[in-house]
Parts: sequence; structure tokens; C-alpha cells
Amino acid sequence: MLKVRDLHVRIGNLKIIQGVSLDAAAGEIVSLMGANGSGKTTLMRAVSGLGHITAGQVEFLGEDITGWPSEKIVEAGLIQVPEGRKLFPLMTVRENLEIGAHNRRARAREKGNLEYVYTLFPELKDISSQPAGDLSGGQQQMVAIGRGMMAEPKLLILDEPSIGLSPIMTQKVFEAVTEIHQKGTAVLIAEQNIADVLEIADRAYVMEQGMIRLKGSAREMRESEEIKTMYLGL
Amino acid sequence: MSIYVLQSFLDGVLMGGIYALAALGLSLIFGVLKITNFAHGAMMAVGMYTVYALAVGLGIGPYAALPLAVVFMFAIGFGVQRFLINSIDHAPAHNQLLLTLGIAYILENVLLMIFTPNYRTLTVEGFEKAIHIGPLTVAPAKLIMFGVVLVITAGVYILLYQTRVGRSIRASAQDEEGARLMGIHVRRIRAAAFGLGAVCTGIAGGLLTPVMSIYPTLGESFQLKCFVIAVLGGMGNLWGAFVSGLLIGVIESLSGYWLGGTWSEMLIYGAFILILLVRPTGIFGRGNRREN
Repeated sequence: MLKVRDLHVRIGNLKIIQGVSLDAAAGEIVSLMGANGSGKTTLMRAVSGLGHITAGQVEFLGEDITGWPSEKIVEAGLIQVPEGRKLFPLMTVRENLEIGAHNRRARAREKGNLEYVYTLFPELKDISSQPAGDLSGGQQQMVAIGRGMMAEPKLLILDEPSIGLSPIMTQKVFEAVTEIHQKGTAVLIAEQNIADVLEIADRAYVMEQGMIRLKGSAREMRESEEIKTMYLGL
Repeated sequence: MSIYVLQSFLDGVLMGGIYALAALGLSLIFGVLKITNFAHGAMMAVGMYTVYALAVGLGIGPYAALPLAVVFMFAIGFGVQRFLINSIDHAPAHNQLLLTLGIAYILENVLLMIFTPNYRTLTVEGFEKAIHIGPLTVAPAKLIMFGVVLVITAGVYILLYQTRVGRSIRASAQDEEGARLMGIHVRRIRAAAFGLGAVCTGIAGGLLTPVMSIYPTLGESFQLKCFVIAVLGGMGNLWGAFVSGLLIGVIESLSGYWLGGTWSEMLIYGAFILILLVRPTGIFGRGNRREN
């Protein structure tokens, strides 16, 4: 589904991503792990058309989408729930969700998808008329994921969905991700919460200084001595 | 005395409508593009001469010319953003300021070239006689002017809050990247927002054409006033800009009556500085909330 090949990305004069290759197949949950500043966010932004790609290729559903503008990438079915959520703070929860259905593919099924989001996060229905900017971090994350689902992703990219959330809220988010995956949506998720994400992921990559340091199945990762000592503190 | 005060108040509200509409456009452009458009006054002058040229050239009168001017101003604004301002998108703020200032000089000089610096007036037949409302007198052109301001403002409101394009404009203003990640064509939206801002200021100018003598650099006096009003309203807060516009119109008119015209300018900018000292985000600013 998603094939990233030897990607190089710059921010200003800094080479942040230096030759990353990564795959996500249909029906998979792929986890991208790594410390702060390892380049996860820059990589995901570049995949979504928000970044300066200097070399390499991004392929989605057999099409070369390298350098495509973000709106075209969204239209193709690659949707990102970004780090920091990037909601529309003065708009209501409902309006935020509706904007998720902005692309032409999702527009026709807006009503049905809204119902789906409300079953995914029943809480959102009760706060649907509140401005998104007034919500708690956990609620905002639910809106962000809900908004992403309104766009009918074929591949959903989640960048640090559990950042700053309480353990209970984190649990909720991971449950929702599992449910979204069961619905048939492929998921690429960046997380620092490695123990939790390896529970739900099929495969995982570990990034370090803009490169892939390790890759393998989630089970291999859980058993890897390197992961245990470096990230899980075991 | 009270009748004169009332008359000044009415004149202030009517003129304030023009400030309000133009400042609303400036605030809208700031909200979406995060730049202060220093070509706003010049675009206002373009609106004045567009209405003048259409009214005289086609012999259709200034009010029939307004719909055409709306289309023309939108095209100018859209084009200026798409081909000039957009090319230095995300450049440092002072570069964007210099660019809009440059655009202002170009627009003004094009007007000077075509229309010469001479004052021009447009008299509308059948509209010369003042109307009396009780003890107050008002020129019909000014009443129509205020009516059209309300109609255009309502139109902008409906566009922003009832249409898909409007929703996309608001989304882009509140979080540009969030909008892009939801598939909104933000580059086009930015151009549309600039076009809409140009319509606001251009029509505000066009409405003045039958009311006062116009000359190509007339917009300059409105530029700073619009900026002050938009800041008072809280930059990016459209309804704050609108209310502040009316307020400044009234302050200007009343202080002109009580203290004389020289003082009125001083009072406006004095009040501006005072208000900013107390409330740095403007009267209607949203405190320290970053978003608009």
C-alpha cells in the first residue's frame, strides 16, 4: 500500500531524513518508533505532502505520490492525524468532523461516517456543539482521530496519538486504533509508548537520527534485547 | 446642541460603515494569510475608480456598476495573491510588508496614469436632494452607501458561515496545516480570501465615489485607519473589526464636532494607543489565545 524508498527530507539546511525505506501493506498496523528528534514526524509529514523531499520516492497504492500537494494525497486516501492534532479551535466538534469529509471521496458518505465516528467515540456526540479549542487533550485527540476517519482513509497515519494523555485516555485511543484497523483500514502509527504500541502492531520500525535502525515483526521487537534495554527499560 | 450631536453621530455611523467594511476585509486577509495588507487603501482607490469608470464609461450609474466592481475587485485580489504575494509565502513578515507596500505604489501609479491626479466627482441624478428625518438631514447617497455596506457584510457572513468555501476559509485561518491535511486546497483558499478582502475594501471605496471627490492617492488616508480599526477589533476577528469601524466613525465625527477636524485624527490615534496599552489584543481581541 505505502512504499517509501530511500527518502531524504530537509528542513531548511538540515538533512533530517537520510535514506529511509518503509512499507505498510493493506490490513497492517505498522509502528514507527524512536526517541524524540529521531525524525518520525518529519518523515510522516513528508509522506503527507508537508515537507521538502530532496531524494527518494513515496508510492501509495501503486502511484508515485512524491511531491504531490497534500490535497491530492488526501484525495488518494492517505490521511494523517498529525502531532499536536491541529484542530480548528473556534469551530465546534461537529464542524471539525464535517471538515474531515471535505475530500470528494468522503463527501457522499459524510452522514454514515459521522455515525461511525460517534460509535467509535460516543463521548463526541455529547460535546458535538462545543468549540474544539475548549476541550481536554484526550477529547481533542478523539476529535482529531474522528476527523481523520471522516476522510475515509485507506491508510491512516497517526503521529503520537497518546502524547500528553492519561493512561486511561491512552488506552481508549489504542482501543479505537484497533477498531479502526478491524474495519479494514491500514494504520501507520508513530509512538513513544513502545510497550503499548507493540501490543497492537503487526510490524515495527525503529528510527534513529533520520535513519531506520531496526525493523521486524512486533513479536521480534518485543523480544529484541536491544529494544528491551534501550526503550523498555527492562 | 443635542441635534447637532445627533447629526454628527448619524454622520459618524454612516462613514463608520465604510471603515467597517474595509477593515473587515483587512482583518479577513490577516486572519487567513497572516500578513497585513498595506495595499488595502490602494485597492480601495481601485474600487473607487472602477465604479467611476464603469458609471461614466457605460453610463449605468454607480450603483448598477457595483456588481461588476465586485467581480473585478475579486479578480484583482485573487490575481495579486496568486501571482505576487503567494510567491513569497512564508517569507519573513517584513518582506511581505514591503511587497504589499510595493503593490500599493503600483496600483496608485496606474490610477494616476489612467485618470490623472485631478479630483473627480460623480453626481447621481435624482440623488442631489437631502432627505430630512425629523430634525436630521442626510444625503440619499450616504443612506444607500450604508445599506449596501450592510448587504455586503451580510453576504460575507453568509459566505463564511453557510458555504463550503467559507468553511474552508475559516479552517485555513484557524489551522493552515490542519486544513491541508484534510484535503483543503489552501493555496486557492488564500487567494480567495485575498480576493474577498479586495472586494470589501474596493466596494467600500466604490460606495464613496458618489459621496466625495476622489483622487488616486485618496486610499492612503484610509490605509492607516483600517489598520487601527482592525487591530482594535483584534486582528483576524471580523466582527470586532466591523464594530470598531463604526465606533471609529462615530468618535471621528463627534470629536470633529466638539474639537474640530485636526483634533479628531489625534483623538482616534490617541485612543488607539490608550486602548492598546490596556488591552494589547484589541477591544474584541481574544486575550492570549493564539488562534483566530
